Amino acid sequence: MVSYGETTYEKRSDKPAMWYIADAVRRVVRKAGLQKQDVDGLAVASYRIAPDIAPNVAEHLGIELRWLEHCAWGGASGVISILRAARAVQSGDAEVVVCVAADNMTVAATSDLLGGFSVPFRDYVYPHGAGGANAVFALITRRYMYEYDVRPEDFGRLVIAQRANATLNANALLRQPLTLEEYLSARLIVDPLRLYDCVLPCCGGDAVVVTTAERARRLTDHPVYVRGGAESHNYRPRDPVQLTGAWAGFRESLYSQASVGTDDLDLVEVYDDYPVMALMQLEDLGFFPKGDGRRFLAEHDLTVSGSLPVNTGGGQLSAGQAGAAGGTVGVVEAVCQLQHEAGARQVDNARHALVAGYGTVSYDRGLCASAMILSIEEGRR
Amino acid sequence: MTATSPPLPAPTPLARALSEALRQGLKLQFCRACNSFIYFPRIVCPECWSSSLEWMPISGRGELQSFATIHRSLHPAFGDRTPLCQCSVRLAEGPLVIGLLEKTSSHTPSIGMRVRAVALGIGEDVFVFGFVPED
Repeated sequence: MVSYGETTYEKRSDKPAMWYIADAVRRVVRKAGLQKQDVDGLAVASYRIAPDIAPNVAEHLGIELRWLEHCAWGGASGVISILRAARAVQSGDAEVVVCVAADNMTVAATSDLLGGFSVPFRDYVYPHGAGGANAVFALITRRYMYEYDVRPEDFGRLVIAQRANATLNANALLRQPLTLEEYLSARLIVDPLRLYDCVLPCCGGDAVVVTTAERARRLTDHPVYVRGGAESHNYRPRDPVQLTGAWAGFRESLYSQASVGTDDLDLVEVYDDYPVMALMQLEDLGFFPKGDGRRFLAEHDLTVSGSLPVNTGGGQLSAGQAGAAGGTVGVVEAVCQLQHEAGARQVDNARHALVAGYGTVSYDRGLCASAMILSIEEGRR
Repeated sequence: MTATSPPLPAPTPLARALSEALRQGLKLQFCRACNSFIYFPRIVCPECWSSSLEWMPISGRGELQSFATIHRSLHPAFGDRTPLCQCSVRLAEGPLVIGLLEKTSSHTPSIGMRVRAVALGIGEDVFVFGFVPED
């Protein structure tokens, strides 16, 4: 990858999703030192451009493409779109691919979206009190807490560390430091989830440019390489509750492809729609043994200057979740860190990063999962 | 207070079939080819892809896998009904069902608690799964 771009995030806006797409695409192409006519591939993740889809983004932006993806993997899309784009440029199907994700999301829009999120959710879950995704993850959180003796104050550590990181990110929407007292006493949304366990729907867009390693090296002194990646869909559907995610199933392959282990990673961006999922990703990606979350959180400092920097820009829980862009926030942050442009929140000597994705909530769990390892070193072919 | 209609399942053949099956007295989809009970309702068996599916009576017994109390609903129809206890139940026959657990003064929900499925009417002739604690 050669460049990243992020629109100014806003809590609410009249600007449509297409505005945030256009803004993110323009920023990222310009930052790469490229022009509109250089772009020959595009991957789009957005709910609210509907009824437009990816071809209509090409139409609206006036670009001719030989490679195009409309990403339907929710928060797993950021990572997956880059893995697909990487294959495309490796094989010569495209040369310069923009991967963009953007949405204009409000609480009302989220509610509308959830009514029609998927057939099983609409027909067999939503009518039971319309708790939305919050209810899905409250069920998972409660069972996870029960199985592994993880307490609210443990999740609090993770949320508070992310918020500390967000105070150093001018584009995060929630930049006030959070105390444990505030976290624990915040109002219940769907018990056991409280206010700060839930993301703030907002408006924004994120994008990266993917090209060949050779072209990247001509365009920037700080190319970021994709060293490995994996995706998984409908992992272990017979588990009565999703206590283990697909990352557990593909982590060996991921680290083997990258020739990188957990100890080599300087920062980790996990998909934090809810604290339980952020923790589950760290667990299933091998940062601690299954069930040992409480101890891991007590023993590690997840801030940018800590023992394991996690969600170094504050994650979605502090930056806000601009719909489908939620899955690309971590990608953009990782690239920013590896290109040493993170300013006050720069992780020292950042060389290798892991970005994980998760999404497409249906019935009682997220169906899609992904992860990739990025590095400033190209590694073996 | 204006009465707002609650969100209902879409009137698809599958959702209607479930509603009718519950109205008749607690039935679940069953695959004759591989003897699996299925939920949520499917067009083909998710285990073996057979189309030989029919609705069979079930015991209604189940075990609470998790529960979550909705304080903030996303739909105005539930505004004055919260808090509501959404739960996931593994029925004795195998499938995992999401429903609402009836509020009772004598039972506090707990993981592993035994519950019984009931047919809950939520609209004009529309039935969904509900649960009550098993004594």
